[in-house]
Amino acid sequence: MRAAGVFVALAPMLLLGCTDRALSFGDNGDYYFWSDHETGDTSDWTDRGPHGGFVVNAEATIDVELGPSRSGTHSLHVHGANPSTGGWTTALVARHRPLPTEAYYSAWYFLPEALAPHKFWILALFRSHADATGDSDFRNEFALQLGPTMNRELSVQLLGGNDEVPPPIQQLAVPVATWFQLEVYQRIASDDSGRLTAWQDGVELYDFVGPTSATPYVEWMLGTVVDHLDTPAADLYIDDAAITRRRLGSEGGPFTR
Amino acid sequence: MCPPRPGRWVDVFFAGDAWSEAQRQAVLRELRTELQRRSVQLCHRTRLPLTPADDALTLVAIDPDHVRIVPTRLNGERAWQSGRTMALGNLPEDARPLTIALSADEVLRSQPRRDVHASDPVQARAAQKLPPREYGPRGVVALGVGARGGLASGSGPRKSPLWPALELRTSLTQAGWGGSLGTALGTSTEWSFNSNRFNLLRLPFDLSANRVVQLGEFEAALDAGLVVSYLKLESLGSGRSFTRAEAGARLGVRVSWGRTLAPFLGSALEWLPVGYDLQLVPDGSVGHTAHLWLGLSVGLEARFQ
Repeated sequence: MRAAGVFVALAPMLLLGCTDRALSFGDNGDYYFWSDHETGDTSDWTDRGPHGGFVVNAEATIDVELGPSRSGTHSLHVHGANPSTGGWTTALVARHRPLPTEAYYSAWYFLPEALAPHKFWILALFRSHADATGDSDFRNEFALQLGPTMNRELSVQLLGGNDEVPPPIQQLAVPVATWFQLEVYQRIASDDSGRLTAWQDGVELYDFVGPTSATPYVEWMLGTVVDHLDTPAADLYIDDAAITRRRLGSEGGPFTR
Repeated sequence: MCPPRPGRWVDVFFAGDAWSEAQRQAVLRELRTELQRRSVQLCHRTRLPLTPADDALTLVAIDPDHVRIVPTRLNGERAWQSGRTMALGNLPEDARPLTIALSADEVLRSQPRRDVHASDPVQARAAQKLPPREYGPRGVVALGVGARGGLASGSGPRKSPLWPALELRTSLTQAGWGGSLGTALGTSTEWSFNSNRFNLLRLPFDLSANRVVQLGEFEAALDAGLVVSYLKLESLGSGRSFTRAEAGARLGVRVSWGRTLAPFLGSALEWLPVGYDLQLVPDGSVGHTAHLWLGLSVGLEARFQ
């Protein structure tokens, strides 16, 4: 009788099994900026939050389209780059200065086909301005670029403003038809207190200590700056971009609104 | 062989047709344990006459629900007049041997001692020091400190630390069965799921059925029941918090050693079938509250009749 009573008391729980009810805690305060591009346009980049942004389309195009996406149905699509005639083509979205003195910059990339840049395809670019207006001349500080390795694989390389490339901790091949993440930690400083660290899918590629920006007025840009393509492949998708106060890592799920 | 060793001993004889062999053995086992506390040996006689033991008992099963305990050393009608009849009908089968043994022990202790005790003053003093053992309602209040931890799940690295709690439990039993109420009071602690941090305050309260088994001064208590807990969750990223309740089942065990004030060691497992999914924008689901909680505790319990 006693055992039967215990069973009757526990039976509803056994039938329910283990389930979870959702508690939505709202916006994560660790994000300065983020976009999953589910607005269907680039308004997240140009309008959202206290810091503005802009879009640059020169010879190539970057826009938000329905297509391969890490979260939802939309992502940034870079296309139309055809610099086979020589010269650079550029298509970038940017977040304006002032950016936090210390922050993590993360974005996910998808190459439907392997790209074949002759020298480089810049995926992410940090540049500085002389003042807060943004009207002054800019200076390229650091870039993460796709470049060929010795065995003709594509890998991510860090490019310094004076074209000095710090030695990599390790090099990983860039995957094709698979989303991969690049995340950068930057402490903005014009002296040796500056630091820049880069990860690919959570694996540390570079760790640079030294001046990272000539001024505090920094911009973060995603898309492409490419010199020359050896094959017609020229498509790149970017999704789930964010500037955060903590490292996201590569294990988090797709963004949701 | 009776007596098995030199020393004080008691003859026990079973009479009446209502005894089963299993009942006889169970009563002997419990009574032997009780007598050992007073350094008295037990001798089971299968037929009369009894030998000149220090004491002797006849346990008469009048019917399956009534047993008469007779101090057989007394002669004739006086003996039967001084016995005790126990009604066992309200007790579960497995509680009857202990109840009979406790009562028999009490009957023995209420008898005048023979001279043989005087020849062994150490044993006599030891026996006198032992408090009478009752089989009526019995309460325990236990207070301890412990560590509790939840087996939380989520994507990526997560930290579910153990954290200290003040454990309080009170139980009331009769003939080894009863109920208990308990709680664990602790402060809030931090959980992290893939670097998303949450503050969690959890206060569980449980109501359990309680089974106590005694072996001399050693006691083991098993609890099985329901637990309801108060939850307060706060995201350190967004600052938003929720207050919720969760319910589930609890299984606990506590072992202790002593008489009226006994140190104990306890452990409990709680299973909560319905948990909570922790969501943030834009991360989505970053983790879940624990479906299983494990607690360990040490402390002191006070036993009273």
